[in-house]
Amino acid sequence: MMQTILVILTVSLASIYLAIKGYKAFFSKKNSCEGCAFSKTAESLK
Amino acid sequence: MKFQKIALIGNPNTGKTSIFNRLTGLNQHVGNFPGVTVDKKSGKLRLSENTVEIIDLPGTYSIYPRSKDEQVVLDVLKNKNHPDHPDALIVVVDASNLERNLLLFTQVYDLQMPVMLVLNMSDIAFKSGKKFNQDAFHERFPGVPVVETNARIGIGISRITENIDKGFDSTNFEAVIADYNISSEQNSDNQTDETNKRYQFIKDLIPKIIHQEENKKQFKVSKLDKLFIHPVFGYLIFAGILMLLFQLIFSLASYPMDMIDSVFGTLSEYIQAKLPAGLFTDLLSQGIVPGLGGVIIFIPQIALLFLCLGILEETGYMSRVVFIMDRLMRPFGLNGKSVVPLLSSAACAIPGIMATRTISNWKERFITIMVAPLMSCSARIPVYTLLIALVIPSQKVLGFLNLQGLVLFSLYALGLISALLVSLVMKWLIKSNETSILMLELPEFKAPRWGNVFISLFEKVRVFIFDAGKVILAVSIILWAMASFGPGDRIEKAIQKIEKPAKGTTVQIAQYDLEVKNAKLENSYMGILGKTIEPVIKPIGYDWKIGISLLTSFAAREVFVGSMATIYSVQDNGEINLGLMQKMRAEKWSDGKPVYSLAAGLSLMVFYVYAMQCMATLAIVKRETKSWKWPLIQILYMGALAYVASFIVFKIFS
Repeated sequence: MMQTILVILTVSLASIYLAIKGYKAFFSKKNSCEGCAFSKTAESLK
Repeated sequence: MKFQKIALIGNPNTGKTSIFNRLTGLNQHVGNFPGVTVDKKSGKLRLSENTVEIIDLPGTYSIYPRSKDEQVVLDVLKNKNHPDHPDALIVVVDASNLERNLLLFTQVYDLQMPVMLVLNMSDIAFKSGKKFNQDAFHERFPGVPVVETNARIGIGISRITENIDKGFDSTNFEAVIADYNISSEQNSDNQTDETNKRYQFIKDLIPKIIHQEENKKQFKVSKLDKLFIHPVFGYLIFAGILMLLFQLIFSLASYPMDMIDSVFGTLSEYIQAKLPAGLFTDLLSQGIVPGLGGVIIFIPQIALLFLCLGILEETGYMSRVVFIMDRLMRPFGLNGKSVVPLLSSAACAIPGIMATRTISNWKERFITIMVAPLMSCSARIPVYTLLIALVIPSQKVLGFLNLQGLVLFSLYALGLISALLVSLVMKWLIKSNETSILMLELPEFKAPRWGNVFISLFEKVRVFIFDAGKVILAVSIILWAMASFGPGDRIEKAIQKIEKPAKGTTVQIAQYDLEVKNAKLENSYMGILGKTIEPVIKPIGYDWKIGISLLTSFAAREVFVGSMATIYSVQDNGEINLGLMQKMRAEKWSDGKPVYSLAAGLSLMVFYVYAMQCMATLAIVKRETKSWKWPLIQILYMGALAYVASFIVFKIFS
């Protein structure tokens, strides 16, 4: 039972996190490279 | 005169930010300038009696804006009611290149604000035989404190602080251009006249304030540049450096990667064996641990790549690359200003697309935006390297080149060539005669500062783990759930149909277990979705499991690897400690042929060269073009290219 609750919590958290991340990508005012490790190198070339 | 707010202003690459960091230390804050999305860095400097706020303005060559960043500088300086309008300015210039840097200084001086001049990189100027005559400078600009610095090692910083503490005033002296008013100088003809007058002034001033000695160092630098920006050798050297980089990635990173792969396999097995059986234990061993492994396994490669790039950037070589790429791209209809966004996109398309704001001609800007995601970005590296390691043998070509590194180089080259060809087609379709030029300063070659290289390396690896890693982990968890549950009692019914051996051999029992796991997976939500899309992707050589990973990696390309790790972990055939690559190698079609054949592997790599698998890039294209139409066209044309190219590659190599 405990394991099932933990699974429900984890999967819900993961879904909420992805939904927020997706929403921010399209609607946030802050421009940022989502999860891209190269962003600073790219910025320095600007 | 005591100041409360001081702004640092200067041309790009003058070491302005290093001065800012030295002055403010850790007392920094990063935010946005009001109303715009341009980063604002500010910090506190403690003086003997008070504290002053230091603002680092975006780098600019002139007070007249050519980009959104430069517009901020103009807004802050001309609007006295602007919340960031400073009481005084510190103009940071490159002491080895005063001819160009003094243009901004003379404009700022004429604003009648207290100004301090910081001659940074004075060590380079000194080594190249340039000596600054402060007395001659003060004859023309009395009241302007001049400080010679070397921000790399902190020389001269205390003198800046002393001058701020003492206060300075340069507002009541003779202007370079009398009655100068920036707000009335917006007409481009006026700007050109004014700039010409200023350059004439600087030309007359330089011999008085700079004593130039004969110097061998300058000769050496120009000889190096003759080689690095040579029309033939320049490209050969760049290609050679890239080749070496990709060779290193495969030859050095493979050992720690194999180790990490095996550690995570063992960890999954350990969790499964030691924790009480149940759903959460399954989630840990089949979802979370393989998902984490899918992130961590790429740290050696990412670190190596950034180490090499950091060194190239620190030495000043990247500016030479931009210069030679400009020459390469022009025949394909891309103008000089497209070079920087496209090269940036080879790292990440998002800052690349944002950098297109400097292109004033909208058609050129639009074409650059449309082709930028074709440049292979860093998110593709995990996908490329996994697939290359899977289907390309690690063997020598021409006796010294590693075939795997050569294939990685070819994928980058394919992305660049495709971007050039697509822009050629778009240029022909859109027909634009206007061209813009690229103005670029080639900085002096410098020995890399290892501290900077390693700090930046650490930061980039950290971003990869904690930003990309969180998305990969979240997707892995959801995939595990999709692979573990199915609609109604579909999974149970499928298992009941499999005949259980009453008293079989070990092989028969293992075969039964495998069939049960396959039945579970195929009848789960993920299996149903995968089987639905399989007819579409089978012609290009992929099975439904690859199809699922293609779908999930729409969020971000690197999610592909985490998804594969989770799918194969759920389906595990009893040998849980096998690494992901071994599991993928063992995957077979129903006729016994390997799923990851050379043809399928190459087809999948080509698919990732072309496909628009990045939600964040689509979002930025929508934002920059202010329309859903262009991201939609982009996803369609790139998707079509990906499918057709993968189909051709699969057929050729099958």
